Amino acid sequence: MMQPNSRESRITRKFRGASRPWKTIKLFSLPIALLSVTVASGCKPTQTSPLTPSAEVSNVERAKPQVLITVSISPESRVKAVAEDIAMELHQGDWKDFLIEIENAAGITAPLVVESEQFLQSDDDTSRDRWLQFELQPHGALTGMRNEVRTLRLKSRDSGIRTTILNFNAGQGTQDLGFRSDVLVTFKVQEK
Amino acid sequence: MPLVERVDAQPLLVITSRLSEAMQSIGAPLTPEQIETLNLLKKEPSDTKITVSIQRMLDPLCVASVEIRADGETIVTPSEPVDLAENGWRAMLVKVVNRAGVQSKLRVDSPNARPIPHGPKDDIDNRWLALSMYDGRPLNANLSGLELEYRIVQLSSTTVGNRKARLEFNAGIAGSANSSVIRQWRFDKDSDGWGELNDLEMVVRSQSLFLRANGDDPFVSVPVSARGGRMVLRFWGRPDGPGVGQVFWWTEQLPQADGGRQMVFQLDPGSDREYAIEFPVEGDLKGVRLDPLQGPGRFRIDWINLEYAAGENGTWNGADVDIRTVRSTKVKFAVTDSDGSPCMAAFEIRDDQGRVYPYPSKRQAPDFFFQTQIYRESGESIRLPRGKYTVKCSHGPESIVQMQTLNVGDDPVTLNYQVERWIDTAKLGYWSGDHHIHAAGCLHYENPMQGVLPKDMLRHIMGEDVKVGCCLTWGPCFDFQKQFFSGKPDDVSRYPYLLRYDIEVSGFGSHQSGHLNLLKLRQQIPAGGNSNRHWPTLGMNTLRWAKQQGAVTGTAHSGAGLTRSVGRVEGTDGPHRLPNFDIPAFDGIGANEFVMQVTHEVDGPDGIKQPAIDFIATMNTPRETEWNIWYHVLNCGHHVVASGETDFPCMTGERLGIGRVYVKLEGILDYDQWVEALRRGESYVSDGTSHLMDFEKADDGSFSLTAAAYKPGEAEVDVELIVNGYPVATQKMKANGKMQELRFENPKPERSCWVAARIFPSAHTNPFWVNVDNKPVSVRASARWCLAALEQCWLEKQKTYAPAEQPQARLDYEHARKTYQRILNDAAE
Repeated sequence: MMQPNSRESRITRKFRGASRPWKTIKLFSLPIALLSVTVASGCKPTQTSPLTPSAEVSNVERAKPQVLITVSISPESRVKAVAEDIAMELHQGDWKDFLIEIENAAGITAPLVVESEQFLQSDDDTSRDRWLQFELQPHGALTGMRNEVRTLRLKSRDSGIRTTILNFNAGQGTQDLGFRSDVLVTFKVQEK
Repeated sequence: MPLVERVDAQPLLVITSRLSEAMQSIGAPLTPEQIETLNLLKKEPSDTKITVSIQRMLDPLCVASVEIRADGETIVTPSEPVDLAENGWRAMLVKVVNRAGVQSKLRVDSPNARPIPHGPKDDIDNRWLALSMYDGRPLNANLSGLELEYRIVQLSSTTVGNRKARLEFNAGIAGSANSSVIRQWRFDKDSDGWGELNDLEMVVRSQSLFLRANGDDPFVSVPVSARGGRMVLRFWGRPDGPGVGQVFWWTEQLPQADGGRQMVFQLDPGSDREYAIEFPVEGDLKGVRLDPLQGPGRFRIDWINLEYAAGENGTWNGADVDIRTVRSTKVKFAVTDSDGSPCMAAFEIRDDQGRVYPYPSKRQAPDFFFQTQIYRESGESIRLPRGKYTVKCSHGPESIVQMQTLNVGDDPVTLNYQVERWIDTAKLGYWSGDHHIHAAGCLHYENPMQGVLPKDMLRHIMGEDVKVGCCLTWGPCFDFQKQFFSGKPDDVSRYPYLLRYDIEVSGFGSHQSGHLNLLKLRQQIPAGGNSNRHWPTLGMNTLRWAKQQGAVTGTAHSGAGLTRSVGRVEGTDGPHRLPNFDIPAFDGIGANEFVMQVTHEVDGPDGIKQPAIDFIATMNTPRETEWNIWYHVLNCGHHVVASGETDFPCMTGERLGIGRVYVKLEGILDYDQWVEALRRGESYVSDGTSHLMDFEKADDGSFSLTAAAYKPGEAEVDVELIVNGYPVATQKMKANGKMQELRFENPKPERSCWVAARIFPSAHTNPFWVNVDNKPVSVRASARWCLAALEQCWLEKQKTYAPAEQPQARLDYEHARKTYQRILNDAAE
């Protein structure tokens, strides 16, 4: 289905003002002593670039976040992403928050993961094609609820026009077929 | 064409690479040399050199360039003459020099592409062209705003010879001074002003307008004001039946719709596409009426735009392009199996530039737009333009792929293909099947409503030589596809190819427990409703209902939810991490509640207890997940068998039958007998490239089997004997397609065990159970794993069960908990 226009989001409205859908995993009934289980994961507050971004929170643009991407998880657990038709603008070196709306028809509780070849890999990464720093908040398991919202924070190292392909998945092999799990987004990045 | 001196290389390279992927996906790939050039440019430091090189490479592929000036005006420059094939589609590029940095949609129009119905008589001969921009994935619908980029336009001609086509382009932005868009209607909240219904019901759902006509004169209308001129009503939609639609309009001067102001358009049943209906408005427009159908039926509309037609607005500009259209020629197929009997086969047809025929993105069922191949049998035909083609011919994985050269001239030609097999398992008593395919949803359509028909699915199972296709109706298309359930193989079946409709619990009911494949159902829907909104939420309750009617039950895409690890129990991982002792998250829709279900027996149709779940689906998710959980429950003595599936076209749209089960059946193929033999495990699973037949235990305790593998590029494969999940012996086998008799010495088990053979990752037998001292199979480490896995599953799934089913869920998990605890207590180290 084509969806060519920007829109007022029903999911965003639903969650506006509500607390974020955090979830904590505990293996409360596991016979740990007997089984020597190592709990390896759970809900983490953020998925981030391998950098140290959190000290720069003061630079976050305070404007009301826009919905950047809608992520749909089909009943067959296929993850599809659609970029909204909004003005994609960043300011070089400043964080900006966008919203990700998630429609989880499968009701799965796997973590939502965002990946991109344009994400910076270190503080001194000088690769031309890697220019984008990100945080996904909260990062971790989906709630299993039909609708939820997460925040994607983005920051550009460069100015000018920059393009990224953002890929979304909820575990190995969940990307939808036909390039539908990723979105091509072009930003106009104002020079600092 | 205008040249751009320099743009930032980073976005240009990403967008151009994306364009290359789009060309590949629509069957018009760049050449290997062009792709290599693009890859080399990624290492080039100079933005200027990259900008120039990309133009040098892609400008010759363009039908025109469109320069968008800073003031929004467009200048169109034609290319060299373009070659088309009669009634065949071709993808070309449009170079966009975007001086204004606009990020709107580039539109194309042509007086030569206007509709013929109701056109002026003296203009009919001039309407010989069809064209549309390709704005689908992986491209963005809108321009990027970069000063240089390329877009894809698709062209087709109905008339042979040399002609000039007027191509006009517009890149206006709605609401701007240069815009040609009068009004956009979007349906994310409501009908956005469309109303005044007659003979139809209108529902807004999933950002679409769903129209259901229930009378002979259905229409819907909307008030809209604009100055007069030639206008185009554009919308994206999908009617479910054939016929024509109509557009009426009225003005301030003549404020009622009447027959003197109407345009007719042809419906394209079952297809998602953009409709563009041009109409002249004399006076000031005040309203538009859309008659989507001529009688009862359905029509889904995703969006509607009203725009001025080309020439009515300053932003539209064009140029004449020379088009040379060559005649296409009939190509007939003559297809036989290796024994000379007629059969269906797969054909992938490419020209010397790698372009795929028929053009994929304009295909309709039975040909699928997401595949490169088509399926044809003797007597059928297609049309191809003159030229030389390479045709890849195949008939499933038991055939040897043939590459043929096809020369097409002016006279009809026949493509002869006789299948060459490296194995024919049916002649050896093993009948292939794919227990999980779909006729709707996933890749069939973006927004599944109906899907394709049984005859379309039969063509695909015949072409891939899948003897039994289990076509499963599931959530998004349920109310349409449910009509094909009959409790027996569908009437379109052509022996020995059987197509039967059953159910996958997906998108409704207990789907969050892990999807269930329910085969051989007698009743498709539980009592209490006639759709999918009243089903149990506990998978065990779904199984209780299915088993009471004698269904054969199993999981689907088993590895889903088992890929992420949340912990680990003590144990020694085997090769290929089989088995492994990581505890999966159980956060998906695969074999999740399965770890509980295998411990249960439920009432069968005669009241006799039988296992709640018969098989675990394999061959379409990571083996270290799906085979691992299978090994662990086998190690706890649960006699669950493996079956093979594709989940086409959800896990993949490449083809069905990628995952298969080969079921041993003497005599003729009968569906009920086939599925019962599957349930008993008289079968092996495979991707079709490896076969493990007649796995048996001799009196001396040794195991024998007949095996074969055909893997071009691989000299040999390892055939492993597996005992309780670990390989205990390995034999090398040539992967040359020859049948080979293998024998493994007695593994001398000290305790009861299960024994199987496998060729990782492409084939696995079902287990042979070895009884020692009348003790059940019980492996302590696996019991420990199952117990931990059960708790993790309960943690994840409990919240998905309806309150009314919570007490039963607690009882069911508690039963499983006690079962595994007992096995753990009784098992030897």
